Amino acid sequence: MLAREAILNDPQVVEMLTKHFVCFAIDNANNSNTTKREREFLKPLGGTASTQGMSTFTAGGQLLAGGGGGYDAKPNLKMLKGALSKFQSDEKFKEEPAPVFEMDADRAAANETKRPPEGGLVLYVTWKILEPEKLLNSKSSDNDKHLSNALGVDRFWVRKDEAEALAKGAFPDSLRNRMVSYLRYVVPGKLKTDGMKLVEGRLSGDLRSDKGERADSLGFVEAKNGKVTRFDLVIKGLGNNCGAHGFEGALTLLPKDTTAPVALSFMLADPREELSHTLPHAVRNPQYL
Amino acid sequence: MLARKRIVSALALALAVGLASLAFSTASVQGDESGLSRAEFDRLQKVLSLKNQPWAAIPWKNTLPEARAQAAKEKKPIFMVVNTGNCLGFV
Repeated sequence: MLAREAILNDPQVVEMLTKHFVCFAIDNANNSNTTKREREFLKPLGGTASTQGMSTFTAGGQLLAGGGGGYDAKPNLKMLKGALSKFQSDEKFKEEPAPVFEMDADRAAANETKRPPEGGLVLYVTWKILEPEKLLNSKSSDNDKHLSNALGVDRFWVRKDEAEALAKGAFPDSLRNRMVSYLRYVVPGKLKTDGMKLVEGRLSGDLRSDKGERADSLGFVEAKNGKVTRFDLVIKGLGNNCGAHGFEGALTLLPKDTTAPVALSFMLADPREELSHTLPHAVRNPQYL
Repeated sequence: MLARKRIVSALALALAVGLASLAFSTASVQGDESGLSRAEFDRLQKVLSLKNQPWAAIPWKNTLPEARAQAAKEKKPIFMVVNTGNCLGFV
């Protein structure tokens, strides 16, 4: 999240990547979106970086520049410029034979990678501290500033049966129960009540912690011809550092036993968007769906 | 006559109190059910939209075969982000 905020949100990096590179990202800890053959291909190209790394290479697998990453845009911009210059100055990189795509066959045959459920939905899940400046002081580092302002992002898969129930105006218990794990970002402590309900296309609920803190919510679900065409839910409450091993993002900045206003949203993703294809974090759990 | 006036006044008062209670009760119910106002919902949805993030405007590919195919076709180099947890997602 910090690298995303500090490097990939930098306007010059965004422009450089958009104009001159083909970009993609992998999860090297879980490998949910790479096959064994792909991981072998990526080994000498920076694919084994621990925790975090950035590199550039050709379609045929020649490394142009590695060692990128960290939390500063400047050295990464320099790396990108160097790699681009190298690529453009030597015709051998452009005249490489087109890569052989046996990798696609791996994906189809071995079903090694995860895919969204057939007939289901993908929701974007995002969360953010609402008054990040209040968490900062004169001793705050640049990383703290980036992190405090960062948007937490995940994907959430809705099963086919759940999507069908939504289209009929119901809010199935299974869906509610699966969404609950995100509520820890807006309800500190244990969730005591979960009265989320869907009435005439409107989602609302009574969300309270065992300590009495309440989160406010509002959402809308619409369907046409048996298909969900809208799922928007926003929940505003109090977040704390809930100990999710850093995956709670900006909430890690909160000192122990303190809370801050946080908002959380679920939004229906367009399956044609590449960003909707990024796997949910929880997909690493075999029981996810 | 005086008794009738008192009865009418009492009835009017009772009606007023009743209406006020009803209005309060309705407001409470609406507050409990909605929680968030529509204006707050609209404001927060913009703040929370993935589409407003600069990094989300980059045309990312999700798989290595897709990235290689496009790079070969467009004669561009590939940029890869490696992370513990996908950098475009939950990290």
